[in-house]
Amino acid sequence: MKAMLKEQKGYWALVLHAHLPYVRHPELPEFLEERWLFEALTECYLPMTESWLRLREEQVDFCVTLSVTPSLAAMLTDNLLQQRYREHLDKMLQLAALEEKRTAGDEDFAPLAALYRQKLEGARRLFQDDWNSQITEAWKSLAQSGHLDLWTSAATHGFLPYLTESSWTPQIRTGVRQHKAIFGMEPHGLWLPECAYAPGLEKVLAQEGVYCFVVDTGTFRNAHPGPANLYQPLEVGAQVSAFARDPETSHQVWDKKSGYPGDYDYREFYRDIGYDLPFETVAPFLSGPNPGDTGFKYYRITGDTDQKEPYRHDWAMEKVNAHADNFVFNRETQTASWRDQMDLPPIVVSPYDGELFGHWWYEGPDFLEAVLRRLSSSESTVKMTTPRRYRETYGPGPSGRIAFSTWGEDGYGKVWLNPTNDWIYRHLHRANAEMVALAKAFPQARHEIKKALNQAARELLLAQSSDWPFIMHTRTTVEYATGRLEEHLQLFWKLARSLRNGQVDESALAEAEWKHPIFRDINYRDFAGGSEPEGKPVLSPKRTNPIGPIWMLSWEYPPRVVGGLGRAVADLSKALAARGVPVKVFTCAVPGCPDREVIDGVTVIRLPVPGTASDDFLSWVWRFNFALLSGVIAESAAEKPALIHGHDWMVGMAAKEIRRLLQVPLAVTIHATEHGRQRGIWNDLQRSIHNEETDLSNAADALIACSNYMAKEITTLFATPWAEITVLPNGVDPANLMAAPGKGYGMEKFCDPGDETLFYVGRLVPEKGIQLLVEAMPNILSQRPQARLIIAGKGPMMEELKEKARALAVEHRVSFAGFVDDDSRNRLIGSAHIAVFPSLYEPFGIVALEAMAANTPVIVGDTGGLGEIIRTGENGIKVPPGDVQKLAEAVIAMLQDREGANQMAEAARRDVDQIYSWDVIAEETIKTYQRAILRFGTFGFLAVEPADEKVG
Amino acid sequence: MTISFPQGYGEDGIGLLVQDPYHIFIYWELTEKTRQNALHNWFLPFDTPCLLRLQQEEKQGKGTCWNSIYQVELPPSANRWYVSGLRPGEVYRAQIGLHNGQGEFIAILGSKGVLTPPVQPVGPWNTGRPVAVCGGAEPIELEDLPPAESISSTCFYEKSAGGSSR
Repeated sequence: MKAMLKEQKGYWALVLHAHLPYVRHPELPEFLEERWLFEALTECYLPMTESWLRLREEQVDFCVTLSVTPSLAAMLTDNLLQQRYREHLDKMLQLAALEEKRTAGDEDFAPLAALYRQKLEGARRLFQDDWNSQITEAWKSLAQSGHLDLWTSAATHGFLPYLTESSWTPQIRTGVRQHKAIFGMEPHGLWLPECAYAPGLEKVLAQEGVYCFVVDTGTFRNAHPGPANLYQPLEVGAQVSAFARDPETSHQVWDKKSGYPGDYDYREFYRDIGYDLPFETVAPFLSGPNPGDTGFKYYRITGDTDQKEPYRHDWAMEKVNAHADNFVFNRETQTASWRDQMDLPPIVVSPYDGELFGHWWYEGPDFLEAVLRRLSSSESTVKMTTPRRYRETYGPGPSGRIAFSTWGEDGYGKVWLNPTNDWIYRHLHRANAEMVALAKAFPQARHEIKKALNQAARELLLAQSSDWPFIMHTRTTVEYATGRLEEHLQLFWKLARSLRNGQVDESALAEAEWKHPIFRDINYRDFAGGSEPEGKPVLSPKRTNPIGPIWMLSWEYPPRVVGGLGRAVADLSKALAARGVPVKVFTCAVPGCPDREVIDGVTVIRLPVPGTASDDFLSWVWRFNFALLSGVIAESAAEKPALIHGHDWMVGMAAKEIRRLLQVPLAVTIHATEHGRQRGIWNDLQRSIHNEETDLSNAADALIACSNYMAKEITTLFATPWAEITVLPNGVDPANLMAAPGKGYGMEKFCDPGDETLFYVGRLVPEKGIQLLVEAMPNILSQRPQARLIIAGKGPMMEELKEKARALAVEHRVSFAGFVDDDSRNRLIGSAHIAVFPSLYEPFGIVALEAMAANTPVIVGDTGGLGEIIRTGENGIKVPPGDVQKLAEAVIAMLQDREGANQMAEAARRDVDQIYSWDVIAEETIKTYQRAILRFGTFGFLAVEPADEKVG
Repeated sequence: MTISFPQGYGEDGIGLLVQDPYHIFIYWELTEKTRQNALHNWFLPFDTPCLLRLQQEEKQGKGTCWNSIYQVELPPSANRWYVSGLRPGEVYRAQIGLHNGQGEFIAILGSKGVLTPPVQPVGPWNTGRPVAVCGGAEPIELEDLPPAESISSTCFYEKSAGGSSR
């Protein structure tokens, strides 16, 4: 960049955005919509390129930003389309010859016919002779000489805010990759399709090495913390700079009434011989069956009238010069005005659709050349620059934040999201979710599988083009757009479905590759969300585990076990580890236990927490969570988990923060709720806990409940969508119910020979209903005088229960074993005649499973999880909760029918092996984790099943 | 040409897209299986209508709560909806659900939260100086440009029907 002259006030940056949707139909000799490319070449790209080359030749100092979308670049470098364009030019030259003949002698039209022939000959010379049909080489040359900054765009011009985030990297990276392949250099910026920005895009841009993009004027006006200056960039995060469209220069060119293109001496767009002459005359030169544009237009705008007068090219050129003078004059006064208010020279950014210049505004390229010549003069106080150069010289700009916005009508999304086109998004999102699942299932595909995956990715990207909803909105070629969307999605799904089976649909692949040979270097793994940008090696070896590291957060873990939660976490972790899943458990420190150890293949990390839980319980929980957070973050320096699994509200704060900081999905198991435990929320402490439970449930990417009862409770209490809750029972390992030989004590400690033993083990708290069993004893003993109740466990109700037994005169048949060790518990539960768990509230009821695993017949209260485990008469008996009479009757019946009781015990044991085995539960848990991982970063669909990992 | 897209994918899902600061678009698929299971679970009759509920996030201290601001009973075949009259700069989420026997809303499907873009109260764009624009059909002198620039992206293939009426 030249050093600023003393009088230089600022800069002007012209940004031309050249885009066309990918239209290529090898199946037909010609196709109407391919004409869009040919017309753009003839009317816009070639004239502007010729102008730039001429200016360079004349050593006129200028620089312009040209954004070339990947789909356009792909078409411009496609041999078939290049050949078809040459044929198109030949046809147009034939038409030009006929026009010269037709208009011979007509002083108004003959010069124009000659002019059009000369321009077509110039186009052919430039395209075919000078640049060997590869106009991108001309742009590359202009970039190398410093006259063009070349930008890329999203691969297929997808409307990124309406695509799920998992498509952002594939869209952007594929575009950048192709740009490098075609132009041999990094892009100098990236044109967000439709200037559609969504928060977070800047991170993806920075990841791909892009630091400049353009947004609409309104985006800056609505910036945070306040309206941003339009005449300098805004750093929006990750050192990426947004540049805002200048409203003045937009208005001067775009406005229908006062914009330059509306000048009466300019060429009238809508008067074309394709409509004006008899159809049979022009038909051989049209691509479709209807009248259409040929580019041979002979009238000027004239005025607000249908009576158009002949076009005078010399008059139009005079206006071009006048308008260029005016434009430059306004830039000089504009920059001077802003320079007085700014510390740095202002940059006026003027982004335009490239097709405006030459197609809609025929004289547009001439106007631009005239402006560039004037600005290159040493007399001008405005110098040309590009956003990239400005940023390199003056920095990325002040920091701020911007929000979702576009340059579409009203500045937001209604052009691409309205009743004409809103129906497409469910299909795009569903296909996206499938592509992510496939990409993750095939971490290192090869050969045909890899080709099929890459082609599926291509078809999805092509379906995501924003051109389709745009066309549906403008109602122009709706059938074509809808047909394209359908074609791409159909091909995608054909490939996806066969890949799910580990196969390749060969005919679909062949058809798709032949029709859509775009993005040669596409990499389907960009959809997997973890792959590195180009040039960096994939660090992780081929994965042999079913899923990556799982990190559990739990406030209790053996040997620290207060309720059933710790044991459930331990059993699940052990089962996952046995299946090859690396598991780490973060829990709180236990005196006498190591800070870190491996138990049953599970790494247990115990973190010290200052203070005790008995002082201010909530404060202790907060300190525990900070310890968890610190411990996990420290561990993440060496390894990143695939997922965090938090258990109950006590790890909630840490779980949510870890999800946010590490950007990993969060699975949450709610083992029990405060509302359920206490039969309601009665005080501030409970309210705090309830709020923590609600927040945690809503933050989870996968929410697990141990029973359908719990799922309903969670939905009712926390408004968590019921369909999103996965019901996975707790499991039981029958080996844990075997007493070690010679260890523990048995029934003989409490019973006489001939006693019929009823066994309860658990906490002595009201919701366990043990008081009901004591109340039922008089009735039971009246029928079965040999019955004896053994109560194992401790809790606040101990004395109350003893008093009740005395009051009912049954204390001689009720034994209180107190706390029992595992071996004693196993002996007792294994030798009891019946295990009874008359719970009033039981989210799951692991002890019932333990009795079933020990082959002991069970009777339970029909509540919560217990009611779902037991099927009366099949694998046990359940009675209405709180019904002492029914409880007594069930006990009596089971004691009377020993054979029936044994049959139920056998059926219960089969359930344990087939439903409640930790091996089965671990497998289902892994699938839940995989769904959570897929769900993280996508939206729309909940239940996309992960594909089985294949070796492809 | 017959165009065919599936009515649904046989999977439950819900998606939310922000159209502008005041409008949100919602689509969903609630499978018959899930609907029947939910009715069965809450002991509701088979013809219980589905509801759409929109909630606005409210930060409360360290946590958040969601306030219901819109609810509608859905026609049986509905699978997409626009909600208008929303506020800029707020987070919304949508849920599809049922009323249980006690009139409470039971959420069956739920979306993630989306943020409507904020809108600053700013006046018309002031160029800060007299602007003389020559050319066009009506050359003008402007000090102020209109605030809502309707600059739609003119793509190459956009052609309006009919001739010029300039």
